[in-house]
Amino acid sequence: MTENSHSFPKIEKYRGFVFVFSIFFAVAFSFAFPIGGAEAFLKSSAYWFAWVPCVLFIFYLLSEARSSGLRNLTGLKQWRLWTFLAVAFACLLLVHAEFGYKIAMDDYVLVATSQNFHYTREFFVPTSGFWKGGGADFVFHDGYIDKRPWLYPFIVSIVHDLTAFRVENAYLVNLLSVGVLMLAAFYFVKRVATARGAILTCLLIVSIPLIAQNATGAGIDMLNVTLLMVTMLIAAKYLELPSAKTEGLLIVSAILLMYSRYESAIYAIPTALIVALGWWRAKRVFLSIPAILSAPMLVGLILQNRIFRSSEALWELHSGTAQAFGFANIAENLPRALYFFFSMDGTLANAPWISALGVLSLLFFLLYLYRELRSVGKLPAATQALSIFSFFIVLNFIILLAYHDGKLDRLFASRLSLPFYLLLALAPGFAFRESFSRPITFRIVTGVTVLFLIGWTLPMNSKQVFTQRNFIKKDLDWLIGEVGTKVRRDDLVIDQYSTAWSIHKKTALKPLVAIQSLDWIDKRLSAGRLSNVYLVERLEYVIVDGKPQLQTSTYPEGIFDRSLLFERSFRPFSLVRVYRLDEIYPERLPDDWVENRIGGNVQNYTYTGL
Amino acid sequence: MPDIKPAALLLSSVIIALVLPLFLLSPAQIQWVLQYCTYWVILALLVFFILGLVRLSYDPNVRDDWLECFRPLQLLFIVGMSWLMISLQPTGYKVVMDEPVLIVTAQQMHQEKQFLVPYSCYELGGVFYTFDGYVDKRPGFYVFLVSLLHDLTGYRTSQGFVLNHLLVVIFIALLAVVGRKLWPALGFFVAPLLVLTVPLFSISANGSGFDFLNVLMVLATVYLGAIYYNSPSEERMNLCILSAALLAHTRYESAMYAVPIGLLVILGWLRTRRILVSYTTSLIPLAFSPLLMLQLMIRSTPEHWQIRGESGEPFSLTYLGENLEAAANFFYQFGPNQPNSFYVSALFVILLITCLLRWPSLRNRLADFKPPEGWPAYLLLGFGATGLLGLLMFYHWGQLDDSAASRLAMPFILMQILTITYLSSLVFQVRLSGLIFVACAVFYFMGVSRPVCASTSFLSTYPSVRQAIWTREKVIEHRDEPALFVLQQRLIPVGERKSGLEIRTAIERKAQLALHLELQTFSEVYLFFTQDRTDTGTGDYTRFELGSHFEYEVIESQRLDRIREVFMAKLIRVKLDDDTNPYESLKVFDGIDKPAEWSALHLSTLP
Repeated sequence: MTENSHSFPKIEKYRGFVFVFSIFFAVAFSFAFPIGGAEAFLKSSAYWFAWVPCVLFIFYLLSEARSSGLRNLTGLKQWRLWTFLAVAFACLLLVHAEFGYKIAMDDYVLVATSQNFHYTREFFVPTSGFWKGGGADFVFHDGYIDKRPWLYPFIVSIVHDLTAFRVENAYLVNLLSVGVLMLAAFYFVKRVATARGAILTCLLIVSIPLIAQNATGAGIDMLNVTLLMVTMLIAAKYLELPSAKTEGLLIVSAILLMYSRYESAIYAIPTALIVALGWWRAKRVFLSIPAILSAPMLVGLILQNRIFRSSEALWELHSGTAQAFGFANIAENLPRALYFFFSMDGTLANAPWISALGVLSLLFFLLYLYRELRSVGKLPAATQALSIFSFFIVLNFIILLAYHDGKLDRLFASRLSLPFYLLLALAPGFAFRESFSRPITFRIVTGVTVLFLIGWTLPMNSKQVFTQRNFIKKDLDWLIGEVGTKVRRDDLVIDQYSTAWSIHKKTALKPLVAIQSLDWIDKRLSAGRLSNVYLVERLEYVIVDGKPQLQTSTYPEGIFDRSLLFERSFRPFSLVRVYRLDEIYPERLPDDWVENRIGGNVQNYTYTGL
Repeated sequence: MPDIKPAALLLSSVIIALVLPLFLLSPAQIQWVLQYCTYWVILALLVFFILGLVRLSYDPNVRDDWLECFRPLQLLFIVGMSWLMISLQPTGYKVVMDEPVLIVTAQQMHQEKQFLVPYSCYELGGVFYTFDGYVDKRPGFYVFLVSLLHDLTGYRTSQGFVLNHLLVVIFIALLAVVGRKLWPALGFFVAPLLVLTVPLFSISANGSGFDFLNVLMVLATVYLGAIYYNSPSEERMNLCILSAALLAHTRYESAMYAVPIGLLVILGWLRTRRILVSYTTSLIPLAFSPLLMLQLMIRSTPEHWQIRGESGEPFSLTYLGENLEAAANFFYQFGPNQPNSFYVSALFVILLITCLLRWPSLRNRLADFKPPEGWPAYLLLGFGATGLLGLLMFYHWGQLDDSAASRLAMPFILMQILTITYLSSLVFQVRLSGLIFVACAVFYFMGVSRPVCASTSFLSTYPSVRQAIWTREKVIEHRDEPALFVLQQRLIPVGERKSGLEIRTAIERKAQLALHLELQTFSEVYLFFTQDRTDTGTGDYTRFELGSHFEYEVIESQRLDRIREVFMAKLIRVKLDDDTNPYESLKVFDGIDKPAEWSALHLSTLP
C-alpha cells in the first residue's frame, strides 16, 4: 500500500463550507418553520421543489451523455436487436393492458394533484370545484395538502403543460417509466452478466403481473421503482469511474427517488455511502452543485413529513390500529407477504417463479459476497452498487412489514412490494452470471421463464382479478361514465369521492360538507342557480332472520325529499344509489348531528374484504 | 440396427401410452389428465415442430421451394388468392354449437391453461369466474392456437376467425409449393385456383371451427412426408411424425392418419436400409396418449356421439345407402345448393379414368416419366383421406349434403385437387393446353363459384346459426353492463366473458335467480327464447323453453325463418311456488358477518 492510498480525500474548502452551511440552513428551516405556515409554504413552493432536481437531472444526464458519448453510456451497439426486444417486451406487458385507475383513491388523488399543478402550480388536492362566471371556467375551491410525495403528479403536470390536461397523461408517464425501467435494468445487469443475463432480467420483470398493473395505472409506484433502478445504474457508473458530474447525477437521481414515494427517503443512506466510496476511490471530495444543494432540495419533503406526522387522519389508521408502525405488525404481515409472493391462487398480482428464483439467487448472491468479502473492492461496480442498495431494499421491505397496512396480499398494498420484486428480478443476473455464459443453464432458466410467462403471467394479466376487484373504482367508473354525462355545469353532486368528480369538472361536495351547507344549497336550488342536486349513497345489505335487508340511510331522516334515479351493485350485498333531491329542509337537521360526525365520514366505504 | 437407448425409450413410451389410459387410470383420472395436461402436451409438440421447421429451412432445396413464394408475381398471387378466399363468404359462426364450444374452450385454455368447457360462468364486479366443467370431445390443437393468440394479442372472441384467416395464407402458400412439386410448369397456380372454386374452403376459413386447420395439417403432413421419403433422416422423420401428431390433435378422426404415416416411416427405413429412431420419435407415443384417453371418454359418454333420433349406433351399415346418396348429391350437384365444386369433382373423375385407360400409351409418350418426389406420401395420405371418407359413409352424421357434415369432405377434396394437379401435368404436356386448363378453372370460378358465394351463405337450412349470430350481436351490444344472459346457447355470452345461464338451469334454480334479482347482483337479467307458430293454423305463437316460470318484457326480436322467431326479453319477476323460499341459499351466512367471507360465499348462492 502506498502512503497515498490511505490519505483522506482532498476537499475544496469553500465547497465544504457551503455544503455544511446548506445542511445547517436546510435543517434549521425545516424544523423551525411553524407547522401552520408550512402548509401554505408547501402549497405554493412544492412545484419548484420538484422542478429544481428535475432540471438538474436533465442537465447532468445530458452532460454525462456528452462527455462519455451516448454509445458508451448505453452500449447501443446492437440497437436493432435491443429495440426489437424492447418492443416485444412492451407488447407482452401491454397486450392485455386496460389503462385506467388501479388504486382508489390514490390514483384519483394523484391525477387531481397533477391537474392542480397544471392549472395553478399549487400542491393541493382539490375536493371540490365549481364553474365560475356562468360556466366559463372550472375553479377548485376546496382541498388539502396530500401526504404523498409529488414527483409523479409533477411530471404528469409537465405532460399536461405540453399536451393539455388529459387523465390519460398519467398512464402515459407510467408507460414511459416502464420503458426506462427495462432499459436501465438491461444495462445494469449487462455490466456484470452477458447480454443473455440482461435479456433474462427483462423477461423476469415482464413476468411480474404487478408491473403490468402499475404500468397501465395512475399510481406513483412505477415511477418510484424506475427511479430506484436508474439510481442503481448511475451508482454503478459512478463507482466505476467517480467524477463530479456522475456524483451530481447520482445525487439528483436519488433526490428524485425520494420525491417519488414516502419510504424512499431511506435510499438517501446508500446514496451517501456510495458517494463517499467514490470520493475515497478518487481521493477527492467532489461536492458538485447537486451535492451542495441536496439538503435544501429536500426541505419540501421534510416539511411535508412534518405535516403528515401532525395529522393522524392522513395515516388512515383503521380497524382500531393505534400505531402506524410496530414490530408486532411483522408477525401478522410476514406470513401474508410469504403468501403473496408464493401463492398460486390466481387472484394476486404475484409471480411465484420470480419469487422462488429470486430468493434462491439472493442466497447465492449473499454467499458470493461472503466469498469475495476480502476483495470486495475488486468486484464489478454494478455488483457493489447492488450489494449496498439491496441491503436497503430489504430494510425498506422490513419497514413495510412493520407498517400497519403492509398486508401485501391486499389489493391496495401489494404494489408496495415492487422494489423488492425488482431486487428478486435482478438477483439471478448477478448470482448466476457465470452460469449464464453456458448456453444450457441460460436455456433452462429462460425456458422455464417463458413457460411461466405463457402459463401464468399472460393469463393473469388477461383476467386482471387483482385489478377488477377494486369495487370503488368500478362504482366511480360507472358513476362518472354513465351518470356523470347527465350532470350539467349548474348541477351539484354530493358524494364521498368528490375529488373524482372534480377531476372531471363536475361540482361535487363531500356529504359532511354538503350537510353543513344545506341552507346554502337550498337557497341556490330555490333561486335556480342550481338546477339539480344529485346524492350518491352506498348501502349494504344485512341478513336479518335469513332475509337480506338494505341498511337504512345514514343521512338524518326528513332533511330532504329525494327520487331514486339509478342503482347498481358492484360488490356482493351492496348497492350504489343515485337520487335527485326534490326538496331540502335544512331546519329539520338535528343541531348536534354534524358535530357528532366531524372527523369521520358520513358513510364508511372502507371495504376490508380484499 | 437402431440405437438401443432411444429404441428402449420408444418401447417404454408405447407401453406407458397404452397402459395408462387402458388399464391404470379411472375415468375421473382420465378427465383430470386431459383437463390439466392437454395444453402442455400440445405446447411441447408445437415447440418441437417449430424447431424442426427452423432446422429444415437450412436445407437449400426446401429453402428454394419457399423462396419461390417470395418472387413478386408469386407473392401477389398468394396474397390475392388468400384475400379472395377470405372475401368469398361472410365471417361468422358456421357450425353451432361446435364453434361456441371451441371459443369457450380456448378461453379456458387461455385463462387457466385447462382443456375444459366450464359449466357455470359469471361476471361479477368485472371479474369473470368459471366453475366446474367438462372435457370436450373435440381435440385441442385448434383451441390451443386460439388461446395462444389470446395470450399474445389479447382476449377477443373473434380470434378464432383471425386464426383461420391467418391459416388461409399459410395454406395457399403451402398448396402452391406442393402444386409446383406435382406440376412444375403450372402447379403453383393451378392448385390454389382449384381450391378457390370450392366454396366449402371459404366457409371454413371464415368460421371459427377447426376444419381449416385440419386440412392445412393434412397438407403439411403430406408435404413433410414427401420430404422425408425423398431423403430419409431422423430430423425429417421427427418432423413428419410431429406433424401427424398435431394433425391427430386437430380433429377426432384425424388420428387415423397415424396409420399411413407409420407406413411411410417404415418405407423410409426400407429406403435407407436403416431403422431411424430418435429421442423425439421415442417420446411421440406419449403425445398420442391423450387422444386415446379422449376416445375412451367419448365412448364412455354416449351423449358425445349426439345420436340423432332413437337409433342406437354411431357407425352402422344401415347408414351407407343414405350417406352415399348424400355424398353424390354433394359432389355432383351443380348450382347454389351445395358449397361444392362440380368442376373439381368432374375433372377428378374424368382425369382419373382417362389416365387409367390410357396409362400404357401415356407412359410410352412420356419418355422421361418419373413420379413426383416423395410419391408414397401423396399416395398413402390420399388413401388415408379416402378411407376416412369411406368410414364417414357408415357414420350416422355422414350426410355430406348437410352443411354441418360437408366440411368433413375437405381432406378428400384436397386430395382430389392434388390428384388433378398431378394428372394434369401428364395430360397437358403442351403449355397451351395447360393454359387453357387454367383458363377453364378461372372461368368456372368467375362464372359459377363467385356468384354462388355472393348469393348464398349456404346456411339457409340452419336457423340456429342465424340465432347464434343475432344473440352474439345482442350480447356484444350489452357488453358494458354486468348483466346475466339466460338462454339455450349459454356459451355465446360466456365467450364474451359475460354471465351465461342455460334456461334449463334457470328454471331448476329459480329461487336463486329470484334472490339475485332482488339483490341486483346483475344490472339486468336478459332472457333469449324462440317461439314457433303452432301447426294448428291459428297463427298463434306457442311459447316453449321458458314455460310459465318468468314474468318478462320483450325488448327485441328477430325472425329466423318462416315459422321461428327469437326474442330478447328483460326479466321482471321470477314466479315462485308458494312453498319455495328464495332465501334458502342464504343459510350459509348464518353466524357470519365478515364481508370477506361474504364475498366468497356470495358465489355459492348464484343460480
